[in-house]
Amino acid sequence: MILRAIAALGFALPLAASGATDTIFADGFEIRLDAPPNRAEASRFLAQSTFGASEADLDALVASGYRTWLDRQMQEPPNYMLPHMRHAEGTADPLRPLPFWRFCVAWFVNVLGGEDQLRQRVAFALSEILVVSERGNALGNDGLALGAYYDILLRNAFGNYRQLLEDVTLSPAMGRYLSMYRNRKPDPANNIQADENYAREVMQLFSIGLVKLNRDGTPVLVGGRTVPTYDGDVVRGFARVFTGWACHCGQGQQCPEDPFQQENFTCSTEHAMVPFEPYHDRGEKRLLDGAVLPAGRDARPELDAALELLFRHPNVAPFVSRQLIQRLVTSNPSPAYVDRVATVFEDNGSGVRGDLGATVRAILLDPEARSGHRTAPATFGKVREPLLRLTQLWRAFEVTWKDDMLMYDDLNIQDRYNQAALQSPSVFNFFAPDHTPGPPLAAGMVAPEMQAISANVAIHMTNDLSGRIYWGWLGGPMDALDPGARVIDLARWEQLIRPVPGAAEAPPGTLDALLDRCNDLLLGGQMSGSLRQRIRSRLLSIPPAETLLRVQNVLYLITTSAEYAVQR
Amino acid sequence: MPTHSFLHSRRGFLRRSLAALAGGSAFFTAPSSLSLLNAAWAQSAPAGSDFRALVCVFLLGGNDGYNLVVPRSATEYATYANRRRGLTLPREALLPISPVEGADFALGLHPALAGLQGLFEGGKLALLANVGALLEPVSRQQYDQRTARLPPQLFSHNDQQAFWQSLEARSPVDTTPASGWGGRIADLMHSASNPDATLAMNLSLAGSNPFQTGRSTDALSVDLGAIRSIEADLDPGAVGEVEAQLAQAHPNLLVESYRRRLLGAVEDYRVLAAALAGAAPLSTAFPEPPAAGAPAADRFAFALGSQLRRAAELISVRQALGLRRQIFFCSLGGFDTHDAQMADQPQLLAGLSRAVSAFHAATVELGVESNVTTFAATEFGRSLTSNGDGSDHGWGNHLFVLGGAVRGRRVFGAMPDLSPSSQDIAGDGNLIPRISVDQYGATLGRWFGVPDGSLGLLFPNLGAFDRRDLGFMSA
Repeated sequence: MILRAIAALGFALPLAASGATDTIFADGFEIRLDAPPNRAEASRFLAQSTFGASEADLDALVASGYRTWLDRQMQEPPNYMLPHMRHAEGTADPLRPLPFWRFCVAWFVNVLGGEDQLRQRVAFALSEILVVSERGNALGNDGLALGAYYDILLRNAFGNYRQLLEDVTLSPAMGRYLSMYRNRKPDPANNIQADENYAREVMQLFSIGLVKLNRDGTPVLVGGRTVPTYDGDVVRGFARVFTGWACHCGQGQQCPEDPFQQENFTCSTEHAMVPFEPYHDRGEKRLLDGAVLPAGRDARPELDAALELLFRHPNVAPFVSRQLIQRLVTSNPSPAYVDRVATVFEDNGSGVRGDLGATVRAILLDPEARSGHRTAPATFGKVREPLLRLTQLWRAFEVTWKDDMLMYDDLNIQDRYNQAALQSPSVFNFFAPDHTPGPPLAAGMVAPEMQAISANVAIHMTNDLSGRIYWGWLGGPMDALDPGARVIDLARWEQLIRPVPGAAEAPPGTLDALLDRCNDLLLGGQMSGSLRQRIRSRLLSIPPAETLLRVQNVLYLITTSAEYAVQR
Repeated sequence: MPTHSFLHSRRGFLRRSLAALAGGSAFFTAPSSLSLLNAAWAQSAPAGSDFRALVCVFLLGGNDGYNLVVPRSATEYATYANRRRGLTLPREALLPISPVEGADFALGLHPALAGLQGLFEGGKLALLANVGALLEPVSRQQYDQRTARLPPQLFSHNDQQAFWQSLEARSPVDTTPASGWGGRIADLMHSASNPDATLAMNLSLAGSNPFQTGRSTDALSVDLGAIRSIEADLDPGAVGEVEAQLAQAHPNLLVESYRRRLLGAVEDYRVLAAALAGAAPLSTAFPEPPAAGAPAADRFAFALGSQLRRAAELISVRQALGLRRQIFFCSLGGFDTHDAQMADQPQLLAGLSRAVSAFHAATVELGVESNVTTFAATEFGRSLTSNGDGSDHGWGNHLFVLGGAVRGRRVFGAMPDLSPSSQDIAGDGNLIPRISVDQYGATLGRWFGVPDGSLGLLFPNLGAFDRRDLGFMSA
């Protein structure tokens, strides 16, 4: 029966001959999860879990299998931002300010060159959920605070969400971005309330969302209506919890005794914020679902209790799981997929709640991630995030550079891609998880990334990719002009199709091999017949000796296609 | 700091070694049919006679409107100061205004709004008091007892931006496509009012937004810099292949979504480039790019001014685009002043005032002062009380409308009572709006040409309010 189903669906099962295999059942047919059967499947997996993959990366994954790859990735030493930034700045001083462009450089170095690809990808996803941004009033050009913040995301990428939530809450960057830093208890005599900013966003965006959710991510309905998770009173309660925190005073720093009265030092260190009890509200507080924090408690135990309430809320698992699925795999996961991942978030199998490593593993190994392109071809996938369109091209063709320093345009990458790490226009990220561009999407379908890809951005990206391919190759014009240019290596691809001396055309079969291999690398083996035919005709119209132009045409026509714009 | 620009380097390289390839692009020469169309249109309707444009200036984050317009008379100022405490503007710094109608006591504008003060006194600008998101009129008692029917998620930025722009009280389980009221106006009017259009009625200078999303029409996001189409300078022949492939439908809906957006962009940008190439340069001075170390106001003025300058250019080429009706969307961020409000808001408002004043001057230059109405919007007001050095999310808010067709130098709606016994202020301290966004939008829509009978379709909550027209537009 299984074989019949497979034949009807027209694809081959992985039939590797290795011994013990985990099998699962999805929609009536059997899928082996331990190893991808071919480069195309490996490419799909690595598009979901890295900033891009070369042929060597694909082959290594085919050889190792998914689980071993995941195990190794989770063991890889993290490439943090601040060490790189400080090294480049030539300083070991933990308090020395760092310009933000150092962060931009470190980010590109790490995501393009780091072996810890999965960690980098998950941290980037987290930076789009737990958003702080250099844009805005609080953190302009503060590379130290923002580098420290990104390092929190990297450190906790496979850690526990409870710890992540606490580290984020107490980070000086978040403290300043959402004004929990120096938030003080209400002063009724002077008509001053506690600042509600962090209280509101930590609930709405970082933990539980606005309405109660089932574990599969669908909203709880009572009488056909959704149920709010909190009201204004709860916001005011949390706002009073988050009072009394300011910056730690580092060794050798000149600090005022009372930072609430006088702010005379920057607050951008790696050190978590610390409590100043006279400014903490010690009154009783009503929080979620009637929970009451008793009066008379210090800032830290009260913060612990409040974060614990958020972390234990039933919404957290589906809320976080669904967004991570959307950032890594597909914009419209089925409720069953969300439920399977949320179940792991709730309990990693050892009774631990909030294990992000286990959650990421569940997301990537899920049958929907591995075979959604076959089971739901019309709807599966996600519009590639703008920056990933570029990094995935670069890494597929073994990007190199002579100098870490970025070219001017890459320091200002958001001008063309409308996206850059830690430069979201607001706490609501570059795009909202529920954004829908409308038709042709079916009712209820979302495509979050399309919010950032307006008509002009689509054109900018298309033209930028042309520059990367025609100008930005090893030995090419940009390579000569700027040692900071990230350049792709096209030499062995040229070699593949170079006519032998005396021959009029590329060696037999090599043009098709070029197309097949680029299809695997960039499109996970899913190139349409029409795109393939168009590229093939184009290649044949270019003189065979112009091997560079032929290779460039393949890359250009693939990466500017609508097919490449979507990760499936 | 590195200074290499990829584009500049490329252009320089191109000039040096590949000059022969440059130029000659068909995209930048105006198709003759456009000029003919333009001539025919100009004959049938003298320039400016039947042209109207709405320009939305959305202040992202929730501007503190209670410090945009402030009581100046002694009693009301004291009440205001008692409410606002640390957020109080000094009375002597307020810019006095002299409304001919609608004010029961003396008022002043924020000290940073010199440009708007001049426009108000010149009769071009009107103020609207206490506007906000409502489904129906709400009393303090209804609100406090939680019996009022309210828009979803008051006080949440993104939800209130969506409500302001869509006026739809959507449930999260509603899967029908959302639409904004700018988009719905275009759905209704575009084909009838713009029969010769070569471009959308809705043009965004600030990316995608709920306001301009129609059910059957789309907005176009327009660049603020050079308008370019798809280019591959070293391999121009490949561009045709990219475009040809864009014509191929694909079974995956996400691929289709992207394909249609890029394909539409290619077609629209060709039209835009041709039209703008024929635009006469504006002599009105718009804010320049900020110098290093310049105050933040310069940055805000430039950010908004660049959008409004492009809007003015698109107005100037309306005939080439075949557009008798245009709707523009601009935005300026940074108004979520939880922190350091007294330092930051003046910079924001100064930038706003300079950009908007320049835009008004441009409409005068183009002879369309009375054909263009600029209206302010922002997702919510703020808390009247201070949180120490800023304000939190609120509800009702004060706004402005600008243009030659605006019944200027007036205040529409009642300035709220800020006294302790106020019925305008809810138990939780939030100001309850007395004018709804539906009424605000319908008044603008009616001036724009929406037939009376269609207002209820476009503004779904309008029926709950007595007045469909707030009277701030002349006929």
